[in-house]
Amino acid sequence: MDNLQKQFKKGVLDLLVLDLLNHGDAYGYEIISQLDKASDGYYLMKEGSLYPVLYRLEDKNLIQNYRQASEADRAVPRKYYKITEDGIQQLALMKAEWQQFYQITNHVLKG
Amino acid sequence: MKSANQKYAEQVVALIPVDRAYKNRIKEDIISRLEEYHSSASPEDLMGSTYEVAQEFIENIEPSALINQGKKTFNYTSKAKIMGIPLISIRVGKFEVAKGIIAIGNFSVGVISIGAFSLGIFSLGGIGLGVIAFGGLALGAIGAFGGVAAAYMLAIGGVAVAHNLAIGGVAIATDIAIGDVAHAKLTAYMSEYKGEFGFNRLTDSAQLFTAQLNKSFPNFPKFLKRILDIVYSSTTY
Repeated sequence: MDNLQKQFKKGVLDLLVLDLLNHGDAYGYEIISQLDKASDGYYLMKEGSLYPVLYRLEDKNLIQNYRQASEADRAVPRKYYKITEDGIQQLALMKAEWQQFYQITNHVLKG
Repeated sequence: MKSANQKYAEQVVALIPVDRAYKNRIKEDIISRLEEYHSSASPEDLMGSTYEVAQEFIENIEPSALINQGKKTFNYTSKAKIMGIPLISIRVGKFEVAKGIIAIGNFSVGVISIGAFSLGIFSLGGIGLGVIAFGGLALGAIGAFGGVAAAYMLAIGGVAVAHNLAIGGVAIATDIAIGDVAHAKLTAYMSEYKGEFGFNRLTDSAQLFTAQLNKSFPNFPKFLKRILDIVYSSTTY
């Protein structure tokens, strides 16, 4: 069951991260925290799960990163992510696809 | 001096089989993440063992970004070509065949071919097949040299099998065999022989052997005769 849950989660992570960034720029830890909070712990992710998603979205030009200095004691400035125009378009497509997937799957399961 | 966070991040990326650019990306983000904790606890306590973190990344990284799951590879094909064939082709670490004038790889085909399995005019390999072959198992048309060597003209090896001349611990030939155990029409042996003429290398002189050689094989290839001379002159038999 754990593996099934993992696979389901993997399938929607791109969508969730894009949607979250569509509401505002965020850095890695912030994304982890927000997903955790919004899902009551269901989407509590480890770094090894989140960062590959961010890299993948970046490589597809759906998000971009930029640096912003924050606390003085940090060795490296924070890396923030923001959604791109391509990302916004892709998010709309993914949401529509998700709705269709959700409705049809539920319909079949109820039938 | 490297911080504990840097060392930890480097240990993590060392376990992840991706290219250097990808490793740098991960390293940077791990360091950045560790700083978010604002804690003096060790990176292991904060994020987990380097192995666990690396595994988590490996499970989620695009398969296409993973380099051969840790296997090191090296590919090179020279721009210079002769009759459309690369002058040098190297394919190491992948299940690919190196094809070139000079070919080097796990599997190699070339004029000069070097590989675990090599095929070429001059072939050197664990298993070598060629006009002249060297290898653990060497199969050659003119010559074969190796642990087990088989050739039409000359085989030299632990076990040597040839039509014309075999030299080895165990030497088997149609014409001439020289070895501890020798089987051929004409033999020079130490322990045992089977054939028409057997010369014991401890008790019979080289002159006797040569006389019989000239009588039995008047047209024996000159270069093989020369090799026989060298064998005799370089040993105490």
